[in-house]
Amino acid sequence: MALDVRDRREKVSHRHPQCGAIIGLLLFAVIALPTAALEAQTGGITGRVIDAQSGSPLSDVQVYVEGLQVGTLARSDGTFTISNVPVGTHELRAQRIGYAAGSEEVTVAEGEVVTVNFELRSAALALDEVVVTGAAGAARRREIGNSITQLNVADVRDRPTSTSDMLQGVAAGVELTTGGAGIGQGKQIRLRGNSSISMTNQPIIYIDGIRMMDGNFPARRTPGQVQGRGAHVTASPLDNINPNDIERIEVIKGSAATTLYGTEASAGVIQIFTKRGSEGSPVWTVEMQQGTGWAKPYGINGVNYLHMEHFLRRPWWGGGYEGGDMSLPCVTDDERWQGTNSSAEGGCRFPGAQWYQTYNMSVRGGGQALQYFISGSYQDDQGMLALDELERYNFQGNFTVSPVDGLQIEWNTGLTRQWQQNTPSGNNLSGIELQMMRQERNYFSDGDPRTVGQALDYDFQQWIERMTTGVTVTYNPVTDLTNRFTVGYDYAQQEVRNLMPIGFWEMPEGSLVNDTFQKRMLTFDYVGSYRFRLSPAVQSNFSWGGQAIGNDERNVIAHGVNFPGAVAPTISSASIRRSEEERETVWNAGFFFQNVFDISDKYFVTLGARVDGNSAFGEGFGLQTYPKASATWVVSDEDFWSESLGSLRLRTAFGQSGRAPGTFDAVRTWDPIGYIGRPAFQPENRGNPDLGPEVTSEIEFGFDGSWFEDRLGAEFTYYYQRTSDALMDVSAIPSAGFSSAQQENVGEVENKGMELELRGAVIQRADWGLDLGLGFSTNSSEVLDLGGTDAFNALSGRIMEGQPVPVAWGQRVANPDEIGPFVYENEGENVVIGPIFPTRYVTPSVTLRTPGNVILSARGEYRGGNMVDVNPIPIGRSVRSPLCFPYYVDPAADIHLKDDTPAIWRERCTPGAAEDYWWDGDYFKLRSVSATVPVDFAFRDRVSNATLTLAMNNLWDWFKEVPFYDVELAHDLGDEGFANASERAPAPATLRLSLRVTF
Amino acid sequence: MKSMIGTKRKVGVLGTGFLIAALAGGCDVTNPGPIQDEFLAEPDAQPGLINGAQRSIAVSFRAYAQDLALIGREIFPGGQTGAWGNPVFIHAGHVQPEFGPGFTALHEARFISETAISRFTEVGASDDMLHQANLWAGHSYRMLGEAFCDAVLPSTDPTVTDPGEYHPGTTAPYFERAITNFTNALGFATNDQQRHAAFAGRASANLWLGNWDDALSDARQVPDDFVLVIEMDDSESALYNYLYEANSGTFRSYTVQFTWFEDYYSETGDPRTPWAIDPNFSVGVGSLSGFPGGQVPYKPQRKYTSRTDDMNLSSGWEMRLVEAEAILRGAGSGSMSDAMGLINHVRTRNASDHDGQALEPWTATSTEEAWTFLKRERAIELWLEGRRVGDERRWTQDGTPGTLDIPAWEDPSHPGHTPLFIDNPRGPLCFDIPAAERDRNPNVPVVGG
Repeated sequence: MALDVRDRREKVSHRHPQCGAIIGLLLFAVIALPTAALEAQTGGITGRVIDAQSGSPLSDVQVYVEGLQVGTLARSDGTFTISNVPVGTHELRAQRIGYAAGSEEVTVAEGEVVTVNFELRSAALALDEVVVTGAAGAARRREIGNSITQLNVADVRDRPTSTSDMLQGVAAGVELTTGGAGIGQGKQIRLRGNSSISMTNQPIIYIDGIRMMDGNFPARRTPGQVQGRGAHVTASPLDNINPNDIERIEVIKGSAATTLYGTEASAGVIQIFTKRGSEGSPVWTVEMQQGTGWAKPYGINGVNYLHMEHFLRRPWWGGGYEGGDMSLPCVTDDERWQGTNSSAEGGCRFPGAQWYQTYNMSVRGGGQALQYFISGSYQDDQGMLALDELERYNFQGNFTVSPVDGLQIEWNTGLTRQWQQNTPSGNNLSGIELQMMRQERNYFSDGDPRTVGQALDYDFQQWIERMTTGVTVTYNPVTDLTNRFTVGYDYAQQEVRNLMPIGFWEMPEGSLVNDTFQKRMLTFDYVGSYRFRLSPAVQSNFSWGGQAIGNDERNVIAHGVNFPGAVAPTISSASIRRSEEERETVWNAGFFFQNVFDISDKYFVTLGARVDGNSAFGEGFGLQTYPKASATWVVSDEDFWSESLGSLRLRTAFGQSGRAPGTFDAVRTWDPIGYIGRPAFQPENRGNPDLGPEVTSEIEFGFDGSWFEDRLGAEFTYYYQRTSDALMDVSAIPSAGFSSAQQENVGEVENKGMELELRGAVIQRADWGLDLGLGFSTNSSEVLDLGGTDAFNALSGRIMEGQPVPVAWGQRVANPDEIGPFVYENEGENVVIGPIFPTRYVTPSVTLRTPGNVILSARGEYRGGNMVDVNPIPIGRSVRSPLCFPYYVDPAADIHLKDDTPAIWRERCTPGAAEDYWWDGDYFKLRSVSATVPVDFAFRDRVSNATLTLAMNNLWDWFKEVPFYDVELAHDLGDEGFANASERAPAPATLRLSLRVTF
Repeated sequence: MKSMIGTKRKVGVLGTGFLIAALAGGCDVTNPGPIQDEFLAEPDAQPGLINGAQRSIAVSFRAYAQDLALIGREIFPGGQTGAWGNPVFIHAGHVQPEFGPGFTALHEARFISETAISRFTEVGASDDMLHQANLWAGHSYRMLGEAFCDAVLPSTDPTVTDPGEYHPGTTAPYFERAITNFTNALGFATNDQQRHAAFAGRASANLWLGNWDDALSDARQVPDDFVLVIEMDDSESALYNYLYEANSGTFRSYTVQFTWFEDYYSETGDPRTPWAIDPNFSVGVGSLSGFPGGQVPYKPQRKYTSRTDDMNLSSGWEMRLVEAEAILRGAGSGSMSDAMGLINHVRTRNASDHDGQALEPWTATSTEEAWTFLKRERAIELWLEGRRVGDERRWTQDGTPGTLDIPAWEDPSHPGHTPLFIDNPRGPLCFDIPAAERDRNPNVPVVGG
């Protein structure tokens, strides 16, 4: 056992200083390299890029000489310098997402430096910006009838280290919910709320046209044991992507936009585009980020960290967690509590500070025939909980080859390797939070952290490997005919290894679980389009194509117990071994056609359909057809429209897409479950040969507008979704033998809302700028029909006809303020309390640019209109709840209530009751605050851009009614998020400092 | 056959593009794992159904045995109320409407067994297979009959999907079917062990139907050392022996403190009702509301000492007590001394854990005392096997003489008293049909409906 502890402690203190040193040396060496020799026999170009409207400098503008391998990125003050330009006349181009590209002819003489300045005009509506997601091939934004969110990563100020952090609060209708403090925890993603009850509401994700794993990795299982009893951390494949490798992200939110993705796309589509090479000399970008974090108080009545302060890492600068009981002297034989592990006050505390470090390096460049983008990164985060640590390596290589005119081949590959170690958490017998929250009424019958600290011998480690690779061939044999074929492969593997060493309190004989999950997704995608003119005013763009997505999942779980003491445990060294294997393959294939009628470049009408088959459909079902239609009108292009009225586009779209049933749901099956080493069958699915997908129809309409010389922009969308033939788990008659619920296409669900995004350039001057943004959205859902099925529990709530998906449903106290016994409403029967998922979202943001081009920005998120059930303390087991301290006669020892306790608190604090913990769920979180300071005054002749960014995340929050804990931990999000969210510590506040240098 | 086990689904030919069409059209997906219905009766698959039925009975024991132990006051709540899926009221032994643990698993066991009988009969399976299918069907029905208040009776033909018939206020139909199954099992028995199992099961069912002579004659066919168990296992949590697991040092959910068995074992050392002090833990997990000091002294049972300890379904010693009861009810000789002889035969075989001496026999001077000793000896012999509540109900309904050793925890003077027992008075001594069945089966009225 001592060996195990020592091994793990080495991991805990794993900081890889050598890696940081190597990267630092590389950074220095590259910056310090003399470049003067390269400047001989050529000339140079210098200049500045500014925003045409405000005159403010524009950074990160790609400036390059067309046809040559020379170019650079504009610095934060907008200036650029290109050396080594061959003598002669060239075309110099400047381009940046969100701005119309600029081009100038320039003549370079030997040994001279030419000055060229650009004024780029931002396109508030970006009507001619090309988007890809949801369109057949590619289309200009003006042609598309549905709303589409595009996130330009260069505009993200706070240098997030995860892709999901970047998406949080980015646009109305895009909702990401944070999990607990466990490092590596993925977020739950919802686009326009819930339109399905039984199937996933997580959007599907593409990266460079290749379908990748969505949702989160599965929670660890133990063969035949209670599920989810690992560290309760479910990592997100989205977060395996290095955000520094991403150029932009497109999000389409509903079926009106996702029709061409067919079955599986009802919950929306997120498409990630990684950075590409560009013509020009190599542009290197190096970034180093260091950070720390700290727990915000989440307790109440003096128990500010729900007794967890002994197990929480501190920020760099030390300090304690006020309100905690740190009075215990560290007198123990356990070395983990000794020396540096004890706090300044002498009380026992687990070691160390939270420390986050990330290093990135990338290079992009190329010539006409070949462009490349290559990057690598290393991240090592030590989280808030005592043992939490995450390491990640990323590699991305993107290559574009244009061997002949009309043919382009893109090859993109991303590799990730991630290791993480977590602290036993959540509703786990050895969960630290569970044990500490319950104090002396825990499984040790002892609240002393040194006793509970035994649970930290439980070793949770996890490895993730990802590879996403694909080739896209674009071939334009003749003008107006485009063919694009993509083949891609996404591989995701997670190995979770949880070890209870010999002597571990919960299982002294030792236990080891190895849960290896693999997912392979294969993408074949072809789209062709031909543009032709029907009349002088009408152009037709006809597209056709097909797609096949193969999804192969394999899960092998091994469990060994009872180890000999002399070896480092493996499953093979266990005396008793058990295992499970699951394999599932699903293919979805379909074809589509679409025609866009372009009338005078002002009116666009799109008609199309997709036809799908899926291996999970019932044999008697056949194929599913999803139609689409949309129209847009660029009103401001009309002759009658005055320029003073700004720009305006009206749009509307209708479409359908679906969700396939589960792999085996259509077939009558028995489960070969086994019984003590012998084959055994039990009834599983009743089966339904007519089972098909549930189909979501959506209509949306809205407008995009900009006014006051594009200083005010607005996008508005109203959407209405109806899911018919909704797949419901129809419960069986228990006495009938097949007791499991069977999926049936019986339900109907409605989901609707509006989204409004406002952007205002309040101050737009060369030295000062102030931009305000405000997103506002609503979402409400309703179960229209359960198809004869009784109300049931799902999505952390109740599914009932006429109520939201899901609805809070429980007992409520009728006389909350009365001194005396509590009385329930409706004679103690459950009552409808309100929607569980938020119905209102507000996402304000502000960006301030000061002289010197210092940029300060902040982004927050409000959610509300719902009810949440927040109580991590198991009152039913007579645990003393800090929430009830004001009402206990002796809070330090017992749970007897004072006579003058109000009824609501009498109910909440009484074992056997404790049902009415429903609160108004409104809350606000300041997601990020950042400051970006240009520092390219250093090494100015050697770097093109250098910025220092200070970013703080999750710094402050406000809960309207919930008195403690964290509202975002209220939902048990199951397989789609994080199992057993209760009895966990909330995520920490973080501070990160980043230095990014481009040269 | 193995290659046929699996689900085979084919995506139709799709696509207009040359490659897409070829790919889509060629997508044959074979997913290993689940078994399709048509392969169940193949010879290699037949044991799977037999084992599946046993497994479902084992699964039913999780809540069934725990809850019946609480209701029967064989154990005392340790403070971890609400754990193991047992609501607080069950910790007080109070059965509420629509609460019916084990109902689904036992009906599943019945269904699997009857599917096996049907399929095996069609293909002419071996007598051994047919014996086992009938035996497990019989015990599924017996357990339903002993624990529930009403009966729901689906067709014995597994292809008939009509909702089961409702028989309110009686479980006699369950026992009648059990007797049919045990009789069939007897017909297919190929050895003495199988014959004893069928006789023992039928004796228990006959006891419930008041067929005293039949119960007596069946029980007499079973030797003392016969035992039929349902195997429990630690390979998966559904198969744990939860009377051990929930009482283990880790969870400490229950205790024998304040039960009749606490003092009985202290006084006699009867090895059938052992408990012990845990040197590592003096109190249970959590705390019991209203109990002085909150935390309840932890005195774990030691009848089951691991997750893999099996649960008895029938035994020869139980049969002796069946004989004794049938005799006390007038069957056979009808002699009280014969009955007491059987009761003491069961009792005195045991040597005390305290001194290794055989337990003292009971001496009855009246029929009422004989009944008291019969009831006590059944409680001891069948302790923590899920039988005590059914016995109590049966004897209460019949108005049998004698007294039961049930501690009065609702009495404020009892040291085990807490408000839990006042707030949740002992209700009916049987489980209700669960809400899921009432909601879905149109033949069974909803509560209050």
